[in-house]
Amino acid sequence: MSGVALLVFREVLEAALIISIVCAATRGLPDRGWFVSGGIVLGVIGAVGVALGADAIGQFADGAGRDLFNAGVLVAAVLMIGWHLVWMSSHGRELAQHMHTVASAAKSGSSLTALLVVVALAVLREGSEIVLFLYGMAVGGVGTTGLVTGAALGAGGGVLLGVALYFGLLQIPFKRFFAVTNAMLMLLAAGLAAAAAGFLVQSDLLPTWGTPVWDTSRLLADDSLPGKTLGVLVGYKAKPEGVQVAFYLITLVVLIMGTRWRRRYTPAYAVLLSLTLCCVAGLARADDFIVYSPHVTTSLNEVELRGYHYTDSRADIGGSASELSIARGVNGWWKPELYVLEYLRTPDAGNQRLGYEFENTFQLSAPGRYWADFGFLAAYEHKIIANTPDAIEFGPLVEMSSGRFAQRLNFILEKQVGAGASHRYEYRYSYSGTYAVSQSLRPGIEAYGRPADNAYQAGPIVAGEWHIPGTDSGLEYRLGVALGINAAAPRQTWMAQLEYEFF
Amino acid sequence: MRFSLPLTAASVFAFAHLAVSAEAPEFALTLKNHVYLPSELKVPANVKFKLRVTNSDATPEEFESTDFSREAVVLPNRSVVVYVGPLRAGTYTFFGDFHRNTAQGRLLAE
Repeated sequence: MSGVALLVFREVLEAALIISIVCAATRGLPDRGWFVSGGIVLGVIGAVGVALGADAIGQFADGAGRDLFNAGVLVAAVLMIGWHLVWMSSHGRELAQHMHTVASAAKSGSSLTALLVVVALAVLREGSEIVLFLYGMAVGGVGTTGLVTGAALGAGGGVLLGVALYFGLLQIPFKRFFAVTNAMLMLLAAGLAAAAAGFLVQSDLLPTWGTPVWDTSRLLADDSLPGKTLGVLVGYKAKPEGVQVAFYLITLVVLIMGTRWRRRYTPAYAVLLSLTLCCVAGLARADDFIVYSPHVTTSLNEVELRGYHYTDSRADIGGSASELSIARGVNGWWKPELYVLEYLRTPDAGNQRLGYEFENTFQLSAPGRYWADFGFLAAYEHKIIANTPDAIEFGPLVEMSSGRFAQRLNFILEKQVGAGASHRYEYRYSYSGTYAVSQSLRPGIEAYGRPADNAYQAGPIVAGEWHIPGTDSGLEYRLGVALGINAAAPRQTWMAQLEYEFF
Repeated sequence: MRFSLPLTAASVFAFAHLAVSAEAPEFALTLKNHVYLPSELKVPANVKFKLRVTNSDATPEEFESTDFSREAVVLPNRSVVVYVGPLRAGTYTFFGDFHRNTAQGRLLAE
């Protein structure tokens, strides 16, 4: 019986804590009781369904089905929390002011539905394990009395802690109430994202990035009550994988940016954001296959995914690279950009994480003021691959446009720094010329020269952007192929870039 | 104004396909009468490996370890593959979450 109670308690506790945060975060919204109860009921039905279908789920995708399913459930919850937080960022103030006479029910409906899904998914995930466990216990001959008593005790204990958390949260002064619950939802989401990464690692669908980043299991073990509670509330893990830490931090940064970008920067969030960014700070060498623009737009945020891939029949030329970066125009002339993920895949070394890069674009002249627009690029790269020194990169950026024609020129100097660094400066240059048929279609050519590698390439590209209707955001793309001009250059380099921009 | 979370998530997941690793060595564990066989398993340190856990009992079990952070439900007469490591040299315990009293074992990474 005590075994039954303990397991049920652990599983119920996780769901109960999540439900408490959701209950607190929806304080004052009409009909939230129905939504939360509805979520619990749906979750219970789902849990039984998942337990019944466990075999089918497990067989799916070569046995990776269960991990994919768990990761999917967690990611869905993260997205729903994100939805709610963005909704709160525009309606929260209204809510805080008129607590008891909240906005229209219709307005809050979509956000409540998102949280209903969060509750349902939490109950489904934990509940399906309880169902499988209790089924096993029943088959294994544990009597009905023992099962029912144990389950009731365990569930009661879990619910009790959840209720305690809820009433604890209600003690928070009104002015700060939603700030606290929103922060808790962010941390919860970040922890769920890290847990999703854990399931993908378990099926080898994501790399671990080496051995765990830290080990605090002696200090606070994952399976202790405080460890488990913190695990749910803030995503604590005693031995996290590197990739989990990255998922955690990226989720946090994205949520903070997503909810804060419209408001005035509050110092607390600025500090939190920059601390998070410093932690993430890692990664990325600017790859060569980009021609930077000198333009910086105040408070424009960019999330960019970029990659290139070599195709060449020679065995020693090949591989690909991809990277994810986040940037923001802090003011009219400075745009810091952080490469939060960067991979390089080479034929001999396989897939490697390259390092970190902090890149800065400075706009030196206002667009259109002189015959060309000028900017300056300065970046620091930290490499995490053994025996590879760090590097700095800097150089001028120029852009000229007349009518539908636009041309860009970059000249970038690169110098290795730190242990084992070469004393030589290397340089590369790049050019792009495009003709705007329309905003969403700008064909053109790009050229790249890297004298140190004896590689010169040029080829066609197409770029463009779409404004997302009804929003202040847009999507930019760029696709192209750089062909080798001299024999030593790679035959083809395929380039792709997708960028999401928002104010 | 909306912020596209799905896009960002998709970007992150776009990296997943790059993660396929070289063929990892495989080790096997079997659950019988809610006990792991073998209860001690030698595995290589600093290498990612596959652990195939087979449940030959009539009831479900959850293979779990807090030492190397893995959890996977194994249904009766089924097996699951869990990728583990790279682990630093040392001893790592694992257990069956549904039968914690009996289902216990250790990995010796060396």
